[in-house]
Formats: sequence, C-alpha cells, structure tokens
Amino acid sequence: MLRCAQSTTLSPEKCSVLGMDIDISVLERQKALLQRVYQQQQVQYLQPQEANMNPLFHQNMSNMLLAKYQECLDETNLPSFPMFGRGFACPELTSGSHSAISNNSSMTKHDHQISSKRDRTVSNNTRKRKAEFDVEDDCKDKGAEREAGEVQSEITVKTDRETSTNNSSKESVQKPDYIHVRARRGQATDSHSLAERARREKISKKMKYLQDLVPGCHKVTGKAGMLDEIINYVQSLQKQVELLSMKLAALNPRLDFSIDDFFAKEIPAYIASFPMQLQVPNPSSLQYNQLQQGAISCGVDMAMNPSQLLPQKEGSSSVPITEVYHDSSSGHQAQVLPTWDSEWQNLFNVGFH
Amino acid sequence: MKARTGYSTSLKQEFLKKWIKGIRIYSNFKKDMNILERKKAIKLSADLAIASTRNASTRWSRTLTANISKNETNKIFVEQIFSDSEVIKKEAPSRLMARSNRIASKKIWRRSHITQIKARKMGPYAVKARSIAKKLVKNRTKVLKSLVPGGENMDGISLIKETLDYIVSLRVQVDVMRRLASAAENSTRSL
Repeated sequence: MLRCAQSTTLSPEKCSVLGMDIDISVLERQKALLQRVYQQQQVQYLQPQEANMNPLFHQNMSNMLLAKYQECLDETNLPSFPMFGRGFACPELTSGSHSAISNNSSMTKHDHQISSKRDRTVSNNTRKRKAEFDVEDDCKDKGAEREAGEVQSEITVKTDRETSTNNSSKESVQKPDYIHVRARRGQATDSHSLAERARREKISKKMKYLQDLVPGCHKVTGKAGMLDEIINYVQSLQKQVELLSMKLAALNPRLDFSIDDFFAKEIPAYIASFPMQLQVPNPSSLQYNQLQQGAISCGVDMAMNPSQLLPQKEGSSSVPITEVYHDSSSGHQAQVLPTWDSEWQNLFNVGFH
Repeated sequence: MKARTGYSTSLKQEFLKKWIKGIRIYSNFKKDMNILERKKAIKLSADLAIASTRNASTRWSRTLTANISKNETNKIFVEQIFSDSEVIKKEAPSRLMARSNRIASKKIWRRSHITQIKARKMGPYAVKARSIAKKLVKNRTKVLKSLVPGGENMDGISLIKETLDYIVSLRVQVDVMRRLASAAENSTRSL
C-alpha cells in the first residue's frame, strides 16, 4: 500500500518515543531522500498480514534497500549518512564531519554485507515482527524494524554504560511492547544484545524522570550516583514521616483533628485550583469578624484554633482564624476565613463521614 | 504545570481525608492513648491512607497494606477503615521465587561468559573498572529494594517505576503532615 510509503516520514515525537535523539535536520534530509526513492521505486507495501506477508515483504525490502544504497551513493551532496526509513543513526554533532567521510568509504564495504546480514537478521526479526503486525498499525514501523538489524551507522560511543545488568538475560517479548533498536556499529546484532540494549535504554529513561524528581540529582551522572541520591532522599522522606507523626502525637493529646484543619488545607487548594467536594457553602450563613478582615499576606501557613472552636458550637463571637494564606504560585491573596456556624459545622461533619 | 499542581492537590486532599478518617476510627477504638500509641496511630493511618490512594495498582501500596494487616490488632482496624474492601492479598511469593531461581542460574552463566569476552576485548583494567561500577550499582539497588516496600523481587525497570511512584506519594504524605503539624502548632501557640 502506498499509504505506508507516504507515512514513512519520521516525526521527532516518534523518535523520542523510541528513545533516540535525532537531529531534526537529518530527519528532513531523510524525508526528502525517501520521497525520491519511493517515487522511483513505486514499491507497494502490503498490508500487514501474517501469512503471506513475509516473503513478499522481504523481496520488496531487498529491492528497496539496494535501491536506497544506490541512491545514496549517487547522492553526493548529502553531508551525513544515508538515512533510511526511520533513519536512526545519531550523528552526534561533534563527530559529524568525520563520520560522514568514513561512512561514505564504508558504504561500499557494507553493500555486500547487507544482503548476508539481511538474511540473518530476517530470521531473528520475523518472529518479533509477526507479532508486531498485530500490534502496530503503522507499517512504517515494520520497515524500520527490518532495517534495524541491517543498516549500520556510526554512533558516538556511549562511554559510561554502567548496567546493573547482565542480570537480565532475556527481554520479555510477551507483552505487546516492541522496542525498535538499531544495531550500532561494532556491536552484535543478535536478539539478546538488542534486547539488553533496549532494556538499558528504558532504565536510563526512567532514571531521567527520577532525576527531575529527586532534588540535587542534577549534578550527579551515572547510575550509581543517582541511585545513591535516590536512596538518601527516600530515607530522609521516611524519617520525616516518622518525626512528623511524633510531633503530631505530641501536639494533640486527644487526637482530635477537627474540621478546621481541613479547612486549612482546603483554602490553598481552593485558591490554586477550582474545586472540590469540600467547598465552602454559601456565605449567607457565615459570619465575619472585623479583626479578620485585614489581609495579611505572607507565606505562612494558616493558623487554626481548633480548641477554641470546639466548645463554642453555638459559636458566633469567637474568631478562629487569624492569618491568611498567601499562595505564592497564584500571587493573590486568600480570603479571610469565616467563623463556623454551628449548623454548618454539623453539616460538614455529616458530609465528611 | 497547572495540571500537575491540580493533580497533586487532589491527591493531597484524598490523602488527608482518608488519614483523618483513619485517626478518628482509631481513637474511637482506643481511648486515652499515650504518646507512643498516638504516634503509632497517626503513622499507621497515614501509611494506609497514602497506600490506598493508589487503589492497589502499585506494588508498594499493596505490600504496605499487607504488612500493616499482618499484625492482628491492626487488622480489625484496617478492615474497618476499608469497609469498601480495597485491601488485596499479597501475591504468592512462591511463584516469583521459582522464576527468579531459573533466571539466577542463567545469569551466572551469562555473567561468566560475558566477562571472558569483555576481558578479551577491552583489556584487563577496563574490565575491572566496569565490574567495580557494576558492583556499586548492584549494592545500591539492593539497598533501594530494602527501602521501597515490596521491592524485593522486582527487576530494575519496575523497581525504578515503583520508586518514582513511592517518592511522589511520600512527598504528598510529608507535605500534608507538615502543614497539619504547623497548623496545630500555630493554634496551640496562639492559645
């Protein structure tokens, strides 16, 4: 289907999804190249059907690949390497020129290797691909996976790949989560190392999230250091929980956290985002005290007076709250907290339980 | 950014509600607790509350709830809190052990084989450095596994995912507790 041919352009989002960092300009070049190739070839991609797919696909792909290589050899004004399909190769900018030169020279060498490699990797990939056909709708993905094992491109050596990992021998292919990895130069292309590499990349991606989450993790690189920071952070958080619960126990001899405390939490939430179930009911029943009508702004938490309020269920005269919470993010000031009317408090109680 | 803060505030509210509810139930059970018992009540309710915000979708939350319920006295308390039965039994560890044994023997073979290959390729010093690094990472992963509840039998990727989730929940917990503590403190101070 020609649909596939048109959709083989790779978008940057797809690249990031696949965990590869690709230069955008490279993508564009690759797109142009691909259009030309497809127009020349007029290859029809078949719809992903399991049964009769593979041999024909194989055939078409072989033609396509050879044609592409020809195209690339002819293409003299391409500064970087030929990108096919997805064009994964990550030409790091530092080694750009060097790689271009060496790659052109290595092209011819790779030519004859391609067909042999293709045959080898096809057997490895067919199984994966067959299952993929059920999962992936985009047949461009299939094309890329096919090429993943074959085309070799130059990539800067990743220096510090600490892996916690000869620990996983096999990638779990059972779940429908297919990872497209391109074999790098000088590295084995068998399924084990591909799988391991994919796994390592997953881990490093997750580590990046952790880096954002854990404060102070930016300076450290490498797995061991980050793990260290993470451990320290988790330990400190756990200790804080212990300390705070001790503090709360000390402060509250009767463990009577009243609704005012809720209110203390609700107000900032109320300000920050328009909410909630625990919203303040209509102000008609509220009473405002003059003392509290000034707006005191600062980054201090609210002060609540639970003990004052409780005995005064009839309560109108007392003033429970004294301060106003200033939400730094929103930048505006909170309203003054009203006193609690008795039936309102009961209402709240009922609603809460 | 807006969406993220909205999510965390709703999480905080949910946690707070459940936590206070748990404390009330506990204090209805037991009157006149001393400070240590109170602290235990507070911490227990907090842990249960934060675990229940995940609705048993993560390993750590399930393990946490299960560990708390192991204690008999707590069990009644737990059951009363979660009258809508969110508590899920921990999955049988036996299945996991069998799988990890098989994987372990494969790993040993693979490790020895790979070090041979690497030694040939890279030269002895590089291998040593790499193995030291690996050992470091391995030790730290072990420590992390002991910290995160339920992290014992998990592999690297899911461990990191669980840690992420656990860290977020811990932060919510600490934040809410701290605010409550300062609010209570201010109230007693102004008395």
